[in-house]
Amino acid sequence: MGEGLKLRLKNFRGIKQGTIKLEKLTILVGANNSGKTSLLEALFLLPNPLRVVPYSAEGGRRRAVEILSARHSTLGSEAYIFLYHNYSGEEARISLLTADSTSAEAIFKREGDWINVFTAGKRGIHLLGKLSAKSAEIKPETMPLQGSFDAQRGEFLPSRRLTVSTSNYVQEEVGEVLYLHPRIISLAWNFLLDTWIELRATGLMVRVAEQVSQWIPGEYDDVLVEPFTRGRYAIYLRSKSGHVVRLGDVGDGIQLAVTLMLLYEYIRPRVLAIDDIESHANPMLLEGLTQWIGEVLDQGTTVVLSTHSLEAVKTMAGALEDYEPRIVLTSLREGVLDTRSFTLEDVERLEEAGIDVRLAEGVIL
Amino acid sequence: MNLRVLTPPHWSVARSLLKWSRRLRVQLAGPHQPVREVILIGNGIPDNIVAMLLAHKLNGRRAVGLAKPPGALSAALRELIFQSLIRKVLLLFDQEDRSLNDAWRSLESELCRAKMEYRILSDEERLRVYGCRHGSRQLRVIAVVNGLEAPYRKHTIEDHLLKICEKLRIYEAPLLHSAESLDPKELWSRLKEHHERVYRYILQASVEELKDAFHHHLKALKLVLEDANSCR
Repeated sequence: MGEGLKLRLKNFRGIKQGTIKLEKLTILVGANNSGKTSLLEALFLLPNPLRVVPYSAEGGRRRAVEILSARHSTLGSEAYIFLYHNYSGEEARISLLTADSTSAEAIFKREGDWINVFTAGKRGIHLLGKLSAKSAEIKPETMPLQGSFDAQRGEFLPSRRLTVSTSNYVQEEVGEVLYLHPRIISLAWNFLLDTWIELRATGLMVRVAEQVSQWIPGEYDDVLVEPFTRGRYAIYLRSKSGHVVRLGDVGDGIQLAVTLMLLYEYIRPRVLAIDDIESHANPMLLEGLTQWIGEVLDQGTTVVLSTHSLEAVKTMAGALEDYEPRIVLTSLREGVLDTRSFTLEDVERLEEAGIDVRLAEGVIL
Repeated sequence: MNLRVLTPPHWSVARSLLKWSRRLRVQLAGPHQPVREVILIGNGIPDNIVAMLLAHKLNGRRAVGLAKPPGALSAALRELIFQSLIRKVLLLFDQEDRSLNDAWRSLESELCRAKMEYRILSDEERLRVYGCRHGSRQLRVIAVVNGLEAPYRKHTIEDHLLKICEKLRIYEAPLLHSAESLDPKELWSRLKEHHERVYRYILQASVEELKDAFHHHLKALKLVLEDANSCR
């Protein structure tokens, strides 16, 4: 994904409408419920909402949209209408815009009790499948349909049935997006367990363990999967002395960091979207994560983060200033997204006026 | 009006305001209300508490920001005019041990350092209104110099609180000759167990009853509330 792109949302999740400019490193700040998570989730779905992602929810559900559904379900209330702003409207759209055109879109179009999911790009539009508006059911198209929208009839008109899937071309254009939120790391562990043999072959566990050793007391040399009780498996960190500790038993910040690094190394996404990067992170871990994100940026990955911590903003934007980070204050008023982009210098100058950028919504927007 | 604290929540000025707003049950403004006026305080605590209590006296739902610039006032004003939508600033600062004229001169030199052209729109002893301009941008600065004609060696926001203490018979005003070496901050600090009573009095008294202690502050707050268009 190149720089200077814009992400535009229409009727998606918390955002009725709004656009945000994405830079190589974008740090989202703003009040609770100001649209930060909706933006990150939109990025996550954009390449293909029905693609399989490195998470596994109950029932073996592994599609991007299923993971978001599981993350947001309340008392098991899973139905894909949650994708729509205020659970209403006919259409929701996530669009990636270049300076002169729309480069890729994910479109959710309601048709009775079903929501048709399309992906659209320079090479046309494809129907990927249907999501139930009333349950967790999904009907993926095994052979995605190519066609066009009839604007007058408001219908998708298939032009021909393809013999091979072409749905991934948008995915290829956008690239893979890895999204991480502290509340879905347990879903990532399910995935890691399923793909353990493959993961071990890459040797990345040793690298991750060594990295973690720099952030917490104790020297770790490997990440393992072994039985814990009654044949149930667990992921462990192994110390050089041979002692093992379950990943679930180490500090929450380390759980997040280890999971993030394992997923990143495995997926090698083009975009990394991390929600609440500072959660559970001591300044030492935050510093370590900052260095690691620097390496991710070096590899050409676009990084979009959200945080509520001014310390995290300053640590990351300061240490990674070579990437010209932008700190974007978000605000939602009646569903309309408003943003203002700052440099770290702007943020520090605002502090000279005694104003904390995170609290500046009403003063600046 | 309700205050919106704009300084980082871990700063002592924000922490103490949250503590007293909770204790006195004074509502602060939520994050989503637009803020177009801000109170800048020069000295932190208890200036912040006084600002909160007096602002609360003036009814209305308008959210007004409160910030404590950590450094030079000129830098704060410059950032407000360039980076924010704020167009009216109420500045509360202590007279300290200088003359009133020197206090005004000091403020005006800060306006100059902020590279603002200014003119005095109204002037009454401890309250001045400045129309400021930087290029096409305009800012109205309503400034109040804290202090009363009390016999202390310096004049600060505590002069006003001690005046309330006198009223409540918590404290007897010192005689002129014996008070010249007294620091109102120290005196107020010594009356710590009475702070809550004083704050509650300010909260419950009528605007009229507070006029002898906070005449200029109340007048300035009313000017803040006047239609924003008046500053153009």
